[in-house]
Amino acid sequence: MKRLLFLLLGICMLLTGCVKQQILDKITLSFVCAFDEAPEDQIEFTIATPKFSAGKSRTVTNILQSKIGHTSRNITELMSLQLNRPIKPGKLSVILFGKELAEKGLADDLDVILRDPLTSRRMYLAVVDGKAKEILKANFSSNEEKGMFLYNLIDTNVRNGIVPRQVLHDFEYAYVGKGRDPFLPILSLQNNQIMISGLALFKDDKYVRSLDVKQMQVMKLLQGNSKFGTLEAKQDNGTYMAVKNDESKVNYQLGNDVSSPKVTINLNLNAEIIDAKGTQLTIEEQRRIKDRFEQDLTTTGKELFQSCKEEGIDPLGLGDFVRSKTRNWNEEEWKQGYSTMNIALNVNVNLTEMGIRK
Amino acid sequence: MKSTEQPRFTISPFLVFVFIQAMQFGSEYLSMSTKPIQWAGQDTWISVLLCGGCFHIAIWMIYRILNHNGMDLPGIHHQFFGRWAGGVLNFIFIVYFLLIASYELRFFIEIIQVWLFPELTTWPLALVMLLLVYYIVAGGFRVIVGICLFSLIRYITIFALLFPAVFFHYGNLSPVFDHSLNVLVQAGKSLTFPFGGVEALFFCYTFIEAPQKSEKWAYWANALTTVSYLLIILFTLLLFKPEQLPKEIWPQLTKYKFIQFPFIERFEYIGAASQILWVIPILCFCLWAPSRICKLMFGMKQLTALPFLFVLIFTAVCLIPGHESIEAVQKMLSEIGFYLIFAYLPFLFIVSVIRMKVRRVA
Amino acid sequence: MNGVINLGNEWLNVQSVPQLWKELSESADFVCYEHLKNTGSVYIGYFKSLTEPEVLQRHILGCLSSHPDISLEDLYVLIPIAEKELATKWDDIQNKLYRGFVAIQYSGQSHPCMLVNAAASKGRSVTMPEIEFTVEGPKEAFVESLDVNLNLIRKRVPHSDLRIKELTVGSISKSRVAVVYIHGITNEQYLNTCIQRIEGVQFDQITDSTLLQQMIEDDSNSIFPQTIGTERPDYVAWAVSSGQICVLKDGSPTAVFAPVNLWLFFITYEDYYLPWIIASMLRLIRMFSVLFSVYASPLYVAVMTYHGQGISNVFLPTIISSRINVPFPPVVEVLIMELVIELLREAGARLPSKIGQTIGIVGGIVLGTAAVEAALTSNFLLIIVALSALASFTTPIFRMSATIRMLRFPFIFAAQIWGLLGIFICTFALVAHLLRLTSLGMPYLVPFYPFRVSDLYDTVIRPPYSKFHHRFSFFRSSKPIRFDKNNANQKKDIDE
Repeated sequence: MKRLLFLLLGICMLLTGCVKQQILDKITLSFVCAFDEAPEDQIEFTIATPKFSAGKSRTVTNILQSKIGHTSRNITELMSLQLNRPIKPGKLSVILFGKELAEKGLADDLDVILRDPLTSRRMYLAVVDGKAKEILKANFSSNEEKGMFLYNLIDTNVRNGIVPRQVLHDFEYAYVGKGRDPFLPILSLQNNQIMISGLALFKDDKYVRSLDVKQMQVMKLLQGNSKFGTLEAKQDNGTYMAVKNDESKVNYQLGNDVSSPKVTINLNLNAEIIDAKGTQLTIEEQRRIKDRFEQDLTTTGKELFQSCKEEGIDPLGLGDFVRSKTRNWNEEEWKQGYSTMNIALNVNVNLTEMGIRK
Repeated sequence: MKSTEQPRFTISPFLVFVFIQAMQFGSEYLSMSTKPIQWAGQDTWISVLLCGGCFHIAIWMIYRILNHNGMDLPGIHHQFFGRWAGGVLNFIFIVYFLLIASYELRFFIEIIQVWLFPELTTWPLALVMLLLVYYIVAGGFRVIVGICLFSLIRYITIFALLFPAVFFHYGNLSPVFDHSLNVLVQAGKSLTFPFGGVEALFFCYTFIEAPQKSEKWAYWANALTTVSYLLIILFTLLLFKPEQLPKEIWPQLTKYKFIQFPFIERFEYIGAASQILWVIPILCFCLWAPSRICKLMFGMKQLTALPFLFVLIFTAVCLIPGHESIEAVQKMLSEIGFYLIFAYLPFLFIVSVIRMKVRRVA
Repeated sequence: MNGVINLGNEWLNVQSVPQLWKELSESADFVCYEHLKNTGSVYIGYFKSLTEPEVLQRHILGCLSSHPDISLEDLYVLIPIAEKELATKWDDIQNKLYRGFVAIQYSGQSHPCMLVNAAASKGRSVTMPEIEFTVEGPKEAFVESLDVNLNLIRKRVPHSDLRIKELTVGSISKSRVAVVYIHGITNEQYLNTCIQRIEGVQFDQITDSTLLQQMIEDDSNSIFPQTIGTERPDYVAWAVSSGQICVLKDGSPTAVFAPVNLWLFFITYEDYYLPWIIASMLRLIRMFSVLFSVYASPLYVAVMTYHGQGISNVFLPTIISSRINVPFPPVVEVLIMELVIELLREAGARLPSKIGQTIGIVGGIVLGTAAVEAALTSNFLLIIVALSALASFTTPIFRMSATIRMLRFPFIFAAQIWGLLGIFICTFALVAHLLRLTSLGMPYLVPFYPFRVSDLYDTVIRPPYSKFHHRFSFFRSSKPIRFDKNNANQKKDIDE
């Protein structure tokens, strides 16, 4: 009997322990937001919120909110003065950064996202060629919600395409960790269509250089094992041939000499010829094609290394690799020796298949 | 030898396994990986094994003490040190358990306040949890062990570790043995608080059916805890860089942010709410043990002592305000626990061995 | 005619017999008349509503008229009815009269009264079970008569150790209660507890064995039943040979047995008639549907109120757009739907069958569709609530399905207060309650707690009969072995 009294007492007290509700149809969700540079050291924060309608499960974004302020959370508060439902940031899946803001440094803006308990660490970040707000204003997806479209765009290309993966977790990992530098895909708007036009390389958290699509592809191949991508190369007789990457394996090796560090990257690619432009594929011809592709990849790779060394950035994580193989690794020494370091690239292309014709 | 309680209230030796690992594996595992990895980097797993080994020895000593004397700790205090000194030691244990209960509860409430409901005040949740714990404790020791068995469901969350698998960087684990032994021991010292919980054996010894037989199950429980902590440290190393960790307060909850099922995305809700599975068994025991010591020392009924302890814990929980104070309490408890296991326990063991020898000679 | 009559355990004062009959004649259905003979009169008294006129006329009156001067003792031997006795105590005579016996009293002689059994058995005949119908297996069900029920049980357990202990319970109903058990297999302690509790019942009118069920339970404040009621004699035979105790009451078609644990409520007896793999799968489906039934609505409330951002992007538009016009918060929506379903169920239970079908259509289709169109609820929720209502009926034992229906309401309230955390706390409270529950002293959650590996075999899955070589150890029977397992299948090599 006493227990019953206790329980009843507890239940009565519970009425004061109520917490704020977040009923789904009574809050404003946003899937994508954009940060831009604004005068006087401020940032411009834009979010795109979907509008749901009864009975139709397809939603179209048609509300855009944009404000200027010092911190994104304060901006959100100001925005809610204009909205009939409170904003909740829990569903953020893509964050866009304008180019100028990226050049200044992203770490400060990311702090608010990393600190929030409700955000996912798998959200995609991207740098926009120009102002991020412009992309959100454009009508690039007619019948799909903008945030979802962007998320699917980046996600598909990361999983099944040639864009190397860099989610929020990877970005922080590379930025904070020793021996690695982050990178992000670049989105650009052309004729009201969005495309991933390359890769943005960062030094610490500042945007310094961009890679074009071909270099981005090679970088993905060098970053880890991959099963996607199409390569094309110019042959001796001037035509271009295309092969499909069935499976590529890459491994790194450290040279034995401690005084002059050398890293050798071995790339092994199983390729399938998908476009031979009518050339007869004899054994001789195949060997020539193989050489051409290997040359092509090696050249692009070496260009990549050169530009990285010039800037002093390390997107592939060679420093991290060396750290895992040497005792008493020192980051400062590494950074000093990086620009003169010898990075060798051995590419081996195996033409295993050639479609259903010879 | 049989236990000294009625058979209706005793548990079988196998359940000691369940009980001890529930006591050891508390919710402090969430923040346990930051400090050792600061010290020992990629060799932290060696510290975990070291610590597990030390606790193995600790369990061995506990069983020797208990088997020689055949009674639980309040009785041993009484016998060894006389009525007054023994009473003081018992009282210290009461305070220790109450402190652990308050800390665990406040830690859990803080997690709920940060991850789930920021506007939740402390006292309603504390009240409801304590009522629930009271109901469980009033059912007796058997019900407490039953709850420990039910909380084994929490091992399902191990599957959550599979999701960040694509983010693992195996290079983080090498080079091996890059740190000195001193540093490893330091890291091990900061791991003693998560491993603590074996002192619960002192108080439930008389409730085990065939106490000698339960010794091997206690070792297995320690082994399971060691393996779990090893996995946790391993996955933390694989997922995070050591420089990321000082900024994370609860790295283990952060790992829930990686999960993506087809229909659920923000798994942190489930992860944070399921911490209750880690907290409830310890709360129940830490409310039961002091009431039992009160019963043995003062002769009062456990049911009358419970409301007082209830109120004490409730006030203590409400008085700890924010994150910094919780960390301070954890530091204090960590120190106390360390000296309990590594100073008081060997001392008790030596006294017990000397008494045995003296008795045999005399 | 003269002398003081002391009713009770007194010898009858034969001159006062008509006086006694007068007492009983207050009821209109008590018949008593004098049969005049040469040496005196014979008083015959009986209750018309309880006796069979055929027996009275042919056997008793026939004998009396063909042998006009027979003495009581000779008449006793002559009457060709098996159950007869000579009684002297007034209590016995009264009890037997109420059971349909005919009392024959010779006046003028200081002889005892002769009682002859002429009881009419009016009641149902043995039919198919209505609640626990199985597709395969015998289709006999218990009826209201205790003797017929005992006949059905005895047929299936023709063993010398099957004991039946009869008790009388209830000061007004004076029901015959039979405790059935197999001596040597059942644990003595459980048996004594059970008998003590039945004997200790102080109620006046016990109409059904389910009232007894509630009175002998360990914890009557719990919504979980601690005994199982069944109407199948084959289930009782199985239970009794497993070591359980069965209680039957005259006038009730339900047999109650104890002790039970939680897992027995998810077993139909049909499981034992089907092959073991199919039976195990059905059991798993049942257990899963119970979990679904209890947790589906509370999870909906928790997720929609607090954790909506946890739903994946693919589902979000569907769920939000289904709820967008509903003015109520999710908890009110859920409670309205649950109440509507309970209304439908209660109404359907009371209606005559012809109207019941119409109500089913009206309730199910019209109400459901109209509710969604009127935006009182979302169609997503409608599916959840309907499915969980259906799922709650998969438990074979009726009392348990009522429990499960009621169980989800505390969870809904807990989900409304603290979302997923509230559901967890409520689950813990439920588990703690189940851990403390016992049935006749046996813990309710055995064999999962206290953990006994050897007894896990018949709880969640049903193994083949070759593995059934010992009885459950938590029934603590004195003979745990069913058959010698070494005689089971021997391993053979290929083509051997």
